[in-house]
Amino acid sequence: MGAQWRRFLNKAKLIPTKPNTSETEIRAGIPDVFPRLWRYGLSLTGRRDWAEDLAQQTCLRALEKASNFQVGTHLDRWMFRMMHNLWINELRSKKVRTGAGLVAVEDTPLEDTRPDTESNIFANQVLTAVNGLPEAQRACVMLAYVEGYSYQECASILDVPIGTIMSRLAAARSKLAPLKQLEKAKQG
Amino acid sequence: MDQQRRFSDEELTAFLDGEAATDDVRAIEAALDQDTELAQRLSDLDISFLDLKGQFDGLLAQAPPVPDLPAALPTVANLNSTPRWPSLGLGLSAGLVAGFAMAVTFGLTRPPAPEPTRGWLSVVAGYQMLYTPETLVSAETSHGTPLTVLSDIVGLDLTALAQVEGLTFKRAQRLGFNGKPLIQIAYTLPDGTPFAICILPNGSEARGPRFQELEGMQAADWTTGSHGVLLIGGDDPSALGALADTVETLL
Repeated sequence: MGAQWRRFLNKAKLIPTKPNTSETEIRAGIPDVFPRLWRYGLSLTGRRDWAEDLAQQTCLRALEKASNFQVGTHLDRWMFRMMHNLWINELRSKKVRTGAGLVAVEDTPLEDTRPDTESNIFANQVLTAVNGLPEAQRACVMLAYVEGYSYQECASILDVPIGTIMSRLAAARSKLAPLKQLEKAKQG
Repeated sequence: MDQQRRFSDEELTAFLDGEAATDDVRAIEAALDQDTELAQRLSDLDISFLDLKGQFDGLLAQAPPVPDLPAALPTVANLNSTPRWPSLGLGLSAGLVAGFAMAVTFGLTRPPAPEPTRGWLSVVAGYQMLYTPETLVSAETSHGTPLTVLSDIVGLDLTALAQVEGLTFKRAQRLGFNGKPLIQIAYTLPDGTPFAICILPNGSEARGPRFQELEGMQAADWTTGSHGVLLIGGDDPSALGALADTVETLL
């Protein structure tokens, strides 16, 4: 891709632009945020290759929109929001789908190679159940319980009211309630 | 009064997440002492997400490397319109950049405008563009769907496509397009480049192969009268011509 970029930049006769502080901060922050963006993308798309492309596209979009980023604010939230919008508005609507969800056969994105202890079996069951949640609920679970964002931050990233975050998380917890039995068995 | 209050699942969830208002926390805690049904509901909702977080944290180490970002923002000198990344559907990153570079190479003054509605060829091309040789290495270990099953799904015998001269079969799977089954059979070309044969039932009049370039890949498509067929992948038009002849015969 580096070579393609260079060809593109040469062909397009780019005017060099002086990096502004927003752009500088974004560039400096991307290495830390990128793995988390990819992970969230994996949850949204269900595919490693799509997650990578989505995360890459988000980085490009962040540079393009650098002037909108306020220096000193949270780059991760800004980019998570950008990525979510990219997925919802531009990519998800594409017609190719694999079955009911988006998880293709070749992808076992959450492959766990640890021994099958009871604890790991339970963890895998939780994962499977979470992956089976409707996308909106899954996104909330990821942001709140994996990324650790507050309800307010989740609402800002997903651009929905806090009440919507609460109801999605409550619905997700209700759907996952059967796992309680497994959890009890694990503890017992 | 509080003893009569019915707490919603949302309120209980916020309580568990430490997001409930102070008044609600007090009210729920007070009610829990007396209301066993409430205690049970709360217990049912109290899923531990620590295991989930641990599992997902393990994924961070598997993240791909940070992309090679452009040194300068893409302010394009010879574009009249405000420069922006072209929206090419799923054609992101490498494909997107290559597509844009190609547009410039061929003297276009702006990225091609997206079609109002995209046909299946275009959608499949956008999808195929995401395939890398590595994608298909992992596909070898997956099961896919037997061609006999897929043949039944689309009402066309596809079993001969398991062995196509010049292609190495990797996997077949059912996708969907506008509510119709879309069969994708993935192969590699001799040099490892991903290649696909896609079949979509349609009622279009029979038509012979048409060759074109889609999303930077060579593509041939034709219709049998009952099915649309698309071959896509690689950059060698003559190799594709031979493959189209072979596949036409096999079908």
